[in-house]
Amino acid sequence: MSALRFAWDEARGVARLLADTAQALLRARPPAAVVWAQAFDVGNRSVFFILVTLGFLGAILNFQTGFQAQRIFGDTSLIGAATLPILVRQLGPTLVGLMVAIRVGTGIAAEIGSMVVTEQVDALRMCGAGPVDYLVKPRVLAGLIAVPALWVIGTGAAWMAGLWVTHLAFQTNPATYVNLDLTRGADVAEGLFKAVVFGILIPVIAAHSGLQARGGSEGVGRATTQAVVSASLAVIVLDLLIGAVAFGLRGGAGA
Amino acid sequence: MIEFEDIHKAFGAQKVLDGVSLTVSQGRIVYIIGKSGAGKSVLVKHLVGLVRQDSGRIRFEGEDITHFTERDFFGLRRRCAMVFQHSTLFDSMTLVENVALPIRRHLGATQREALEQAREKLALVDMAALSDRLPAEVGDGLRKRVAIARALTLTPRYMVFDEPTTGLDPVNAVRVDRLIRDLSDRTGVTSVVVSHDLRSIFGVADRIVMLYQGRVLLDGTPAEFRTSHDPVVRQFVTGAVEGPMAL
Amino acid sequence: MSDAVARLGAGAIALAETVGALALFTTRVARAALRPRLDRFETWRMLYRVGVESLPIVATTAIFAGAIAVVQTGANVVKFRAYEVVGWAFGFSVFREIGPLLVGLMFSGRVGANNAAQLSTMQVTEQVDALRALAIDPIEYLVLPRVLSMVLMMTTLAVIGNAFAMVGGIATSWAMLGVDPWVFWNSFTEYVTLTDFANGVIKAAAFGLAISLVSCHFGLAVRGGALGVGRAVNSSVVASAISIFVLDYFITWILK
Repeated sequence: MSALRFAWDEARGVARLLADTAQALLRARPPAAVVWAQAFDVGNRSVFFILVTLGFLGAILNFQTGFQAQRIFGDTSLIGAATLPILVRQLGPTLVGLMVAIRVGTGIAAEIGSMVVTEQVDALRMCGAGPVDYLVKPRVLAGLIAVPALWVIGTGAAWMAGLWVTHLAFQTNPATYVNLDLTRGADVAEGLFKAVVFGILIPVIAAHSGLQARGGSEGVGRATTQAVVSASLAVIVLDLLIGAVAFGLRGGAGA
Repeated sequence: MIEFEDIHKAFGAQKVLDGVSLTVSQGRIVYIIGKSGAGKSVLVKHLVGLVRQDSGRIRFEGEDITHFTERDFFGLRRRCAMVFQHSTLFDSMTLVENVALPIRRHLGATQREALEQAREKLALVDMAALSDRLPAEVGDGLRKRVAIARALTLTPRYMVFDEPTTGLDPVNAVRVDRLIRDLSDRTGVTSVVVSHDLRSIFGVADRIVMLYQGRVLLDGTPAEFRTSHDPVVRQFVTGAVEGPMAL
Repeated sequence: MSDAVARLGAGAIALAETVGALALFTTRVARAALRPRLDRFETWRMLYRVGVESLPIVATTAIFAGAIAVVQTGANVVKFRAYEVVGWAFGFSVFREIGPLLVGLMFSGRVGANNAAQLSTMQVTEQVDALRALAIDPIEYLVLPRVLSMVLMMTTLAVIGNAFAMVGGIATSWAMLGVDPWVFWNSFTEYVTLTDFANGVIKAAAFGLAISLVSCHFGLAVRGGALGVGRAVNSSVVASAISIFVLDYFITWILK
């Protein structure tokens, strides 16, 4: 199955780039100002997108849940309490991850990809600036900072959208919606951990695809497509793995 | 017959065509020449509606095409075909599929019938042996010949060639020149050729039109060009670095 | 401060322009669809390509989505001893929401991005102009077959995806919650209705339509060389994602 082999090669390539980046980071940290500027840029570019998509997600989630609750229990007062933990530890980070893969992933792959096919990366190498040092490292650090921030913003947006929708559709009292009882520290930890992992991996995967671009505009097109697919898949797979581990840590089926 | 009347075209702040008028008679090969960026390609693209003029009239076989819509141009494009500068073959199809496409779309043929007819057309330009290759797999000269074959599939009465020999090695360039000449001699096709290849210009053209600073500088026979005393024409013909034309 | 406002204003204008251009494009496609002179050869080619491209990735995503759904609701299931309703809860949430949403997003990434990449490369290398010069309408020849095959494929994939998600869900329920596959299956077939299924399929078709229109538009509207192609892909996936969420919300709301 050539698809499996492709996935395996891809995973290996990404792992190698990750290792290279970690090594480069240990050798020399880029100036804090550059990192913050990049992180701010990443955040800025995605914030509107995250707000819109996660806002709608929160609305949909709460609408669906509220509708079923009303049908079965006739009461929607627990909606806020019930949906928040799911949002914080799962839907929030996963969808923020997917959105970042889409927005930032294609952006990085396109930038680096077009630099590769126009031989700018070769020119960089001639000047003694390795692509890992110069292109990948700052973007990974930026992701590390920006994605958790976006997770907070996105989850907040989804939560507020839910508040608005349940109030409008089911006349749920906002006071009952705002209920943090069912949300525990473990949920926040799980969500944050996922966000950090995604923040590191998505730039690495995207940069890896970008660095492999070959052959003019067509190569750039292929690199960006590969970036978004690989990054999205990675988000979903890691989401399951981290979720399963967290489930086990929480005491598994005996929670 | 093709008539351009006082065509003006600007792209943003840059005025490319500043009142160009010229007439192309039936069955002739007319070369539009000038230095790079003089507006030659822009002018001929007006003929097939890929560029629309800011002002002026264009008449094609007596019909005023100035206000043609894209739909209207579809009819015209079957009578006037264009060969692009970079051949512009469809890179997801083989050479023979490239030529078969217009046959299938316009002549109501099935894919199989179209492929057969396409192979015949490719044979006319000596490309039959390579018909199942992809465009990326063959060289520029060969791609150009396939592009010409594709343009000829609907038996147009008019052909526009945008820099047909630019970037080709001398052998392939001569082949293309000969194709253009043969086409005109055998079938009476009217050809408008954009070029700055002096050998083609003086070897093939019936008439030469030179564009300079957005206007027609000289419009005449090759002999008239060779003997012209205009300093700009002289600079172009002799390829001199010094002269009125800025480089 | 005023600089931020100016940027916000510029952003809003850019957004309005994009939405407007997209709307215009959609009407052009709709008009061409009314007198369909579909190129059958090209349409079959597209169907094949889209299917082959998307099936592995959708199948994989669906299995994982099923597993995730179980893992995430697992704690609640255990707490409320709701083992019998796992099948039902799973069925309705995956069929109606998680399934179409994740399949849509992955489809947009795999097929939508690829489509935008291909069309933009064609546009940048003048191949679209070459089509027009051959008196072939790019909307008829390029766009319509793609729209049709992507809508058909998305709908099919939603169904196939549901099946794969079931596999993932059943396996995970069994492994992690000790829910017997038969119990799962029974509660599933007992409570999950055709409406739940149809809901998801309608969403999938709508997503397919949105993704195809968006990717074709940004592909053909590209400006610039290699970087333009990258940007076209970027815009395509971003706009597709937004469309998916917006459509999801409105369809959920309407079909209630």
